[in-house]
Amino acid sequence: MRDEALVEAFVHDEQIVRGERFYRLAIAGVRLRPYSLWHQLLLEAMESPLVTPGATVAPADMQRALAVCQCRYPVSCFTLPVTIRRVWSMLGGGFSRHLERFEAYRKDYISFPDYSIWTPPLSSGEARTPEPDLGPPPGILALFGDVAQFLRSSDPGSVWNMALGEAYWYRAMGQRAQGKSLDFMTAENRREQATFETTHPELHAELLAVSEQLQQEGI
Amino acid sequence: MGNLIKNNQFGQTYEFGLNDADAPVIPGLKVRTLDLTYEPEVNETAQDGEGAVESVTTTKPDKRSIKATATGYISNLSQYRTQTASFTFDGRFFIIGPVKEPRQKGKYVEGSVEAVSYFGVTGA
Repeated sequence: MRDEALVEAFVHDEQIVRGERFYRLAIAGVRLRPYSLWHQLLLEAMESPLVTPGATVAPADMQRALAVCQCRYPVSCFTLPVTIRRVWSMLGGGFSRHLERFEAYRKDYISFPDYSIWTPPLSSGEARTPEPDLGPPPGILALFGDVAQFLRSSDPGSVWNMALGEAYWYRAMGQRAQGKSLDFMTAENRREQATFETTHPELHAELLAVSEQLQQEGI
Repeated sequence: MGNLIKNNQFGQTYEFGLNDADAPVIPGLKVRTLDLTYEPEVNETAQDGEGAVESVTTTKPDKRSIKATATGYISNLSQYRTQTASFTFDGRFFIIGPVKEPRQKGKYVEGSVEAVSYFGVTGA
């Protein structure tokens, strides 16, 4: 059965220009490359509101994000040449249209696998050994490391320039290769859960509350 | 009784709808599947003077013990974590044993408990 999340992660709305992949729609005249780990890192580095949920985005933030998403590892570009046409297109309704397109662009490359790692049940009286309290590496670098290890890649660029969604799927496959038991949500599971929202609204709310509680506990 | 999706000499697997009245009642867990595995409670051999097995005593099929794994969505985390209860299903009394760690399953959280039923133990 077709898995929408997998298809979204690997199949994109793109065009080839001079042998290189670009997102099909240019935004404010800027051709964007597949949204990659490198773009995510740069946008996080500049604390862009475009990768901060709920933050207000200004036209200048959008300009910088477009500059970032047109480059490839190891080039960091934060500015675009100022053109009257681009400045004009950022004004009024043009800006919100660009914002929508940019979100659609990121969404095309960000489709994560939905899975959990299975752990065997504890026997009665048995206690799980707590993991040592180690400082984790920065999230995007941990993802880079996991993917590079799984693909046995000696070329950092090939991983940094990989579409973000693809990288998460490869990480999952890397965990599977390490012997972890992964439990993936299937398309059928997703459809079933979507129906519960309407068929059992009260129970649905209870189940969601448990999910939130678990996330607050950091599990 | 739920929807019987597997049935053979080793056990059965039942599937239940969300909030199905036929599903086993386990505190904090809305059971979706119940996996039952049968095994003889007694399986003893007797040997003759030379050590060869000359007779076997095994539990009759209708008196076998049943190991159960109930899996479903967690509706109350603290109740789920502090399982001390038992449940009945298909006329058998099950004692809840190990409880699996909760894990995210799509929008919800999935949990799983293991239980055992002995033919002669019919209540708490």
